[in-house]
Amino acid sequence: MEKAIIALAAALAVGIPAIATAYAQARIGSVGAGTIAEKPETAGIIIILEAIPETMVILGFVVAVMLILQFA
Amino acid sequence: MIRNMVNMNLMGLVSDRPLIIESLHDLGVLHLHEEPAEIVPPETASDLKILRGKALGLLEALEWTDWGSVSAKNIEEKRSALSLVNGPVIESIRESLDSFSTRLTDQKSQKADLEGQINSIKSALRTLSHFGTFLKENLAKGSDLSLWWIQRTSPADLVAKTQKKIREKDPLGLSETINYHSALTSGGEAVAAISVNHEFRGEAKAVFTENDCLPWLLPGEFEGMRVDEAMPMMEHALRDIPRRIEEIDRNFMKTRNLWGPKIGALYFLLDEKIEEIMIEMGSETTGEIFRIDGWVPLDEKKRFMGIMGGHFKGRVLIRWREPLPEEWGKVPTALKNHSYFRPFELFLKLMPVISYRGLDPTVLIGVFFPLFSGCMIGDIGYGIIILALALWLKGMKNRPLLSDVGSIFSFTAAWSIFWGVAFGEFFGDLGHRLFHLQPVWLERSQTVLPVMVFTVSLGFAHVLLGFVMGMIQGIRTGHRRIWMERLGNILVLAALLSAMIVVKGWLPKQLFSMTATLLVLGLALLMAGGGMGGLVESLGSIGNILSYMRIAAIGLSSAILAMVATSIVDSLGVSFVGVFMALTIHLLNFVLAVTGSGLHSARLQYVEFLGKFYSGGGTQYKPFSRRKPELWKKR
Repeated sequence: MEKAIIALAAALAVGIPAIATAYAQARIGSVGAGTIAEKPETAGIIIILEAIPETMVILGFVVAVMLILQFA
Repeated sequence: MIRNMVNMNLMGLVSDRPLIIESLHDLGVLHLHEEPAEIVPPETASDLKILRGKALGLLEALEWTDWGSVSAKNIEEKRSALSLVNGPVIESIRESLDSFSTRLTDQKSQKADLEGQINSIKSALRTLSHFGTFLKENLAKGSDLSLWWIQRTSPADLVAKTQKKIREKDPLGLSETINYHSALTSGGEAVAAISVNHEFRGEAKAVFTENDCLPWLLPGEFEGMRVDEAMPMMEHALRDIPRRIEEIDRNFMKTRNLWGPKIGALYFLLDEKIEEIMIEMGSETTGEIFRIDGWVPLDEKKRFMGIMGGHFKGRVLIRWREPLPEEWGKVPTALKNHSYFRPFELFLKLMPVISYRGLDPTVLIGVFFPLFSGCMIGDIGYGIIILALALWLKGMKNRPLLSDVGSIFSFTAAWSIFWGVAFGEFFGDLGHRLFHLQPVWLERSQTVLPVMVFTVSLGFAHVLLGFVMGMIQGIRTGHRRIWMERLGNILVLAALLSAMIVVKGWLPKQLFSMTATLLVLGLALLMAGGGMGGLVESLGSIGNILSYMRIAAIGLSSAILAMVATSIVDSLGVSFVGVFMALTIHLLNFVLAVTGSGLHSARLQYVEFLGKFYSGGGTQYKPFSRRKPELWKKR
């Protein structure tokens, strides 16, 4: 039971930031595509902006690994 | 590295101007201070622009885009013919282009006519197919046959009205009655075929015309013929016309292959000539002297002097000077890197042009990008496939972009193999199963923590390097606040590192005071350099370092998916389905590994590394040079 709760906590630690990241990237992506269509030279900046929210998942992953290593 | 530039100021005689400009064009190293202004051009330039437009129009009509096939020989031939551009030469080019254009238009309209004919004949035959038996029977009787488009009235009503009219003329009704058949075409319109005795032809026609019906006619050259005579001829035409179209297409292809490169070469030369004239017009002229200003890479100065001095000995005055600090924003940026690292300049093309006084990160990207992406893939088998792909792409010399991507892939492949050996992975655990391959360092799918620590350490070093570069950049450009802020960040990170080491007990506790000193000094510099914003950025840099954990995370997912692919064979056995499923999952994993590792590694370069020091706002170095067909992109 305890292991199941730890696994659930680890899954939530990755899952919730993943949903938030997906939401943020979808919004940035749609706006970015419009920007690139009008100004192709902004492609580099848009890729950077698109990549920024990913850090949330990475931090979630760190928390998940720590949970598993500490308690499992 | 960024090439050093020097300002060149050339003064010469107006009489020598066309020759001097041609020599500068041949040299191809001078970046003019300003793009030639679109001033009202002289008559010649205006005529040449019209010719250039005509040439481009012809190339588009020929559907020719193979700019790489314009040979140097073609260009040289035309260049010697165009060395003297005057009225008769322009007139002769215009006549040739116009005559070519007329012939091409004729050919195209001939093809369009034939295609139109095919469509009309097909449509007519489709309509007539509804009346096959009716036409046959009534033609055999020798009746008059006509076909009509029916709009509003029903065919039965029209036939009744016609019969009434016929009875008025022939009250005894001795003649045979009227026959009809109607059908709907594929377009949804109603067509009716009417058969009457020849003597009542006029009555039938009058009734149908009065009721807004239009005669259905055979297409083009068959109009007015008897339907039974026209049908076999139309079927013959349907077989013959595609042959004629094919012949026109063959001629068109031949014309395109023969004339495309020639007109392409003409287009290049006209474009060059117009540029030369515009520069001539834009040069500053005082009496008999003209002046041209621009930037030349320092490493080209000697060659420049050698050629210009040799051609115009004593007739030109060239002065050189270093760029002044207030000119740094205007000096064009030209990169020069070792051939191994040159492909990585591709990464900078997605960024604003680096400023002249900025630091070129190409070499560092060339070191870290493949290292990170290779660490994410970390598989000998995948590395070998990427290497094969890289060699194939590198072979595409006529497509520089793909060739560069191939070079980048080859570095990634080398690092993938290196990390694959370290993690003991060959298509996941297949290497272990088949040849008892053992990891040199550790098995990352089992031992996650050391890989995570390693990637964060890698991130620490990379981010720290970014701050060092930023500090150097600040010192070079004389921006005190920038270098202070970057130095502050470096000290704060160093304090964090030393604190961790002291806490771990690897260093004596007495050194904690040094950590505190570093932290206080770092925070003071941060406040002095960037105020509160500097402090916030310092916290952000810790997030940046943790972001490198993605290398471990993506690598772990790739390793586990590869193991899952191989273990499918355990579940399904060494059967066709088992092997097929395993290969499919490996393929999916390979695609994810290559794209994912490339994107995430690029992101680490762009966001975490370049963000610390990269400064855009530069001007791209665009030398006044001859067109290179292989690099030509249609504007």
